[in-house]
Amino acid sequence: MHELSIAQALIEQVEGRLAGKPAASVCSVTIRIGDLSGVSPDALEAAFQVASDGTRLAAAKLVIERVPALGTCQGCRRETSLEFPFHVCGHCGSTDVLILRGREMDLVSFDIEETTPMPDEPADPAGRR
Amino acid sequence: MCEKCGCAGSHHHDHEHHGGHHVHSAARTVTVGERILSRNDEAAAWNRRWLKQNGVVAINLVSSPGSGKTSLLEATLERISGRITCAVITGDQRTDNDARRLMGRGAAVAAIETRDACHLDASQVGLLLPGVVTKGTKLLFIENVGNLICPAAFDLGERIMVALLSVTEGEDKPAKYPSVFTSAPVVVLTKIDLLPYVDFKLDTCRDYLNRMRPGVSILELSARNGTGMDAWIDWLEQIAAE
Repeated sequence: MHELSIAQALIEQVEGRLAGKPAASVCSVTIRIGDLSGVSPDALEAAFQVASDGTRLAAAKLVIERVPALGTCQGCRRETSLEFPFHVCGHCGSTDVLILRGREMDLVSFDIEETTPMPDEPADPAGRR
Repeated sequence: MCEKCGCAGSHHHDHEHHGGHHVHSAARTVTVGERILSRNDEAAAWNRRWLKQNGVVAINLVSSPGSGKTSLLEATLERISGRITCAVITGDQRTDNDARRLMGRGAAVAAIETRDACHLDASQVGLLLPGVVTKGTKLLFIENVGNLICPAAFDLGERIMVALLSVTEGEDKPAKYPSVFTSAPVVVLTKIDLLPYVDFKLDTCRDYLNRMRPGVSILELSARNGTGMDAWIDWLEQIAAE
């Protein structure tokens, strides 16, 4: 269940970027999880729900973009998709494959809603009401 | 300018009224593009720099519980302590039993109780480094929490990850728990003195390991009767001298 540590790290990462924005709340968080990252998206989603409780991410929806594994075969030099756990080239069967994509565990972006109390007398450069 | 309230803002916003005050609420997207574990990565990079500056090679020992990490370290310290100064950091969810087992063998030892966590992280290790790494230390063993999944995700700043697999666990463990075995360039098969008593298929295990990480170095040993320990010690002396 290292997904709990990952969820906590994610929440701290977003909270850190909200410092100085006291009135902001987070509506959604988009992350990218590679198929070779060793992270279970379901477990991460459950962990995120638990860990975000009481934070400004409590109501946030977690959007997980999966990244399929992709490698370059060192034998035939072609790009190949990869199945966990054996990294076998789909073209020539070599196991000597350099992984290009699939280990991602990234925070892509998050959506916030900022509420700003405005003065009762709205400022107008021309002084109109 | 906002037609509803006359404010100067050009952004899209909604209106609510709270006690006579206008409240603007605006939605926007903050683009980040950063690893989720970037804070751990930064701590690991700090550890790596510190270890390099102090001439220390750190080895992150990872395995399931009961595969013989502490037994291997006991036997290792007995053989190597006179020649190479070592330090050990042990990690367990609870107790410092492992650390106490390893004391009195010529190495400084420190324990981390992770409490709720199933792995060590780089900042926990970093906090202990200045205390446990004494002058002249060449090798630091970090005995991770016994777990074949989670420790693989957390870089500790080590030079190399070494995975242990005991022959009592079954030859297909690498295929069942790939995270660790695709990450570790060195795998130590432990308790090989028990091979006559278990159905462990050594060739099948080697095949799995090679398919999961082409070029992996596989050492086979028994900390109990000493078989294969010389090759392990040779390897340690080699990387300590690098």
